[in-house]
Amino acid sequence: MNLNNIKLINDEQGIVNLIINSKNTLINAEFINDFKEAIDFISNKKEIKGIIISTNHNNYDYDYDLNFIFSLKNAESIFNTITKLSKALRRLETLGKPIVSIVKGKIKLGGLEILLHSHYRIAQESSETKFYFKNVKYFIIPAIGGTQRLPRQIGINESINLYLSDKTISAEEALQLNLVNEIVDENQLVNKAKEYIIKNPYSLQNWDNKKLINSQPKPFSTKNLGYFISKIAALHADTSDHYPSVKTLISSIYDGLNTDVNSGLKIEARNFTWLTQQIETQSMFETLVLHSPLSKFKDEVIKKFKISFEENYAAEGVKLLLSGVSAALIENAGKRLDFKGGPLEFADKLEIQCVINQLDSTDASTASLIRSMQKINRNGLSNNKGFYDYKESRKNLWPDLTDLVPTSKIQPSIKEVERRLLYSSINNVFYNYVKYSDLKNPKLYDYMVIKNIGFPVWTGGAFQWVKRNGIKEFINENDEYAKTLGSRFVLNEKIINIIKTI
Amino acid sequence: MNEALIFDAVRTPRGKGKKSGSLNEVSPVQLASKVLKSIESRNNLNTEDVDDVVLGCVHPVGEQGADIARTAVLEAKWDQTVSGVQVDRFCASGLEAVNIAAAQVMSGQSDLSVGGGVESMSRVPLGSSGGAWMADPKVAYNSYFVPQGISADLLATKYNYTRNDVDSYAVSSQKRAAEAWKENKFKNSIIPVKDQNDLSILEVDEYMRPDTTMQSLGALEPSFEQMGDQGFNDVAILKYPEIESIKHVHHAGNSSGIVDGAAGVLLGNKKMADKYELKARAKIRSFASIGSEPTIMLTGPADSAEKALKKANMKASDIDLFEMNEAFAAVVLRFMEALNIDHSKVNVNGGAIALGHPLGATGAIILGTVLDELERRDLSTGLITLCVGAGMGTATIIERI
Repeated sequence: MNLNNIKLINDEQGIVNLIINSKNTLINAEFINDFKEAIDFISNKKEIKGIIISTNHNNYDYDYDLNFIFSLKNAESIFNTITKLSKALRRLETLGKPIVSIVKGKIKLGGLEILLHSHYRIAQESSETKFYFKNVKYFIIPAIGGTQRLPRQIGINESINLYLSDKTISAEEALQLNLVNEIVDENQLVNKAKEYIIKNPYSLQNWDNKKLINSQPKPFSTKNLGYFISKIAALHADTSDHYPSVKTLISSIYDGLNTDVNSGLKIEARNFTWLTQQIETQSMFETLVLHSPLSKFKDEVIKKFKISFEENYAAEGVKLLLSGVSAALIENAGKRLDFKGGPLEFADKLEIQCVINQLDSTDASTASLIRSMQKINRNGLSNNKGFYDYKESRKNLWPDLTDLVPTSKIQPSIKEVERRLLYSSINNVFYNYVKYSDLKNPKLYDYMVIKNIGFPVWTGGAFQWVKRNGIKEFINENDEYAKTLGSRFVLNEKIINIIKTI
Repeated sequence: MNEALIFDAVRTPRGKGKKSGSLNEVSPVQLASKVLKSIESRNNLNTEDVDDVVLGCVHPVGEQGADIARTAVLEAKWDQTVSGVQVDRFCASGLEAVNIAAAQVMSGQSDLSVGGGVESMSRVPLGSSGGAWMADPKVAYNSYFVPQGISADLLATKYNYTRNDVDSYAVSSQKRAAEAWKENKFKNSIIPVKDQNDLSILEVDEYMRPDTTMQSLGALEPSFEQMGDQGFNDVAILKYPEIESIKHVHHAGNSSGIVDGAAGVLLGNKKMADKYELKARAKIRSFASIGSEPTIMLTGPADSAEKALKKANMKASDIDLFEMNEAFAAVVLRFMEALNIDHSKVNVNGGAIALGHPLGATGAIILGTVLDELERRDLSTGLITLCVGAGMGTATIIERI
């Protein structure tokens, strides 16, 4: 066997050491092919007594090479690539021969998934041995068994909580969770692995063991049914109708655990594949994963951007209100876009006076609203009265607001209000980009607006959103807005040129 | 098309749907078979003339599973040639069963059929049958699933029904039900549940609280506030972004009671009326089911009523009495407002808030209730309707002969 990424070493007891020996820790085409080749080879050798999987790297931080995955030409090739590795691991898992994994250092998603298919999991005793979870909300979901084996190993809600967190888990915590079975000193790792193999010549996962299959977690058990029903609502509420990975994650777990691992793995791979095809996934990937850190932006610049962004957002909300749109609709539109609150909530936070500065003070209705609110001391959050009434931890829209600003009988659709808020925010971000003419990198700027000023993450940033959703449409709709709403919707020539080149 | 004639309607009393309820010791198949036996004896039937027994049941699992209608036919010792089928249209299952039995007669495919329903909520609790609608993440996300209580509070919020409005309605339901029992208005349909020694187990609807007042209801905490805070309120608002926040007005005292019970309606054609010398008490004028927006879920009764009225070439004002299942007080308030009907014509003997709602049986129960009352008042037309889970509604119009 001559493979670039995997070394196979037989010992005299008939145990094979499968050592991951790849150039880097990315799961890409070569890695997948070699892993499959190695497993095919092992599967055909009857004399092999057991397999120990370990690594030559300092860390077990195997992770998907997303550049490679996103470069695949279509859904079919992504699905086939993923299932190639997934099927190989499944084949190894079901040989009946004991499979032991040894892990150390940083363990990332792909590493965890490779680990989980083995029957016995040993972690090297070290403060460096840690599992790193990365919230799938802004990322992709497991593709080679992570949504199927983790819940079967440690439980449904425990798995969902981990996958939707940025938690780091120590070896001891992993042992308590049953992620690993044993923590062992470095020079004892191989001995312990062999010991397991010798003691367990026939080894199966609990989910493949006919005697244990009924104790596997089932979505329709009384406990889990209640969990799913309320968890789905909590996640739906948290993500509005964005972040498709969250729905896809919980769906893979639910759907897969209603059946067996073989079908579950197919369900997972199909969900993963679907997820890679979503605009939001691609936008977030391009901005959040592909980009360098934001050290290029000075704190005071970021602060200026942030204040301008928030004031503009709040002011756009007040303008909508003055045009007769209901306050609830405005606030809900902002929340659905995944801003950190509704525009009027922001107005209260920023103090009314701040927002006024953004508004056209010659506008009679604006001036009158402002005077009226100030006259009765509704200045904002600082005195618990503004567009909202604040009481303890709860808040509600000021009930008399409609006396001051009448609500039109005919209301726009929520989508229209969302679009207006989003366009206004994008224009604000673009305006500042042009104003600071030393900014040369739209992608880095996208990263900054997401990470630092509160621009909705799912968009992948302002440039990314426009690019993905149609440059022509964006320009045309701004022209339409500009006709009735004025200069803030007039796009600068420079911006149009930048947009055209991204 | 043949006329579907209603010969008889019977029901058990409703027992509290918990372990301490009187009917908890009676299995659902026993409840259903007692209804069938009573239909047989009251009408001197030779059961081989019955073509089919259609029974509604919302949680057809465990002891309510494996086609409880056929099981009840066998347990009632009806002729083995009588088939049975269980149907589920959630809360309207009992009425849907009557409609299906009626359709068999109207289309000429059955001469004599039973429609009815059964639910032992104390033995097979709410939620027992699970379902993809609420538990499958893709389905629940895409349909903006919220539990029915949240829908009821959403409905109240959207249509501005205050806590005072829904509590007032609940008090009137209790008063009317108490009055009805005092005057023994249910006596024609109710069949006491007895054991194998002919000893009585339950003879009255035991869920009622006739001493209910605005004050006593005022002390009750809203039932769905905590549940709403877990995320369901936000999901409802995603669907209804014009609403700032959900006002939680429903509680145990102004929502339908959880109870055990069963009911059956005997329907047939003229041939059977003649053969058994049965009096056709009423005929089915029309029936309809509809689908409506599933998150608010409970607005279907008005739509289904209008569809049934249109089919019968009637207007709401042509109906003498309505039975609108009191799943939640706001649902009835919305129904009356949408159809512009006075409360004096609706649920005149109280409803499920006072008497309870044994899910699969209620539709058949309230059909019997309105038929008895039409006879007592010597009126002609009745409309029965129920709100239905996942956004549906079912309605049936009957007319006395």
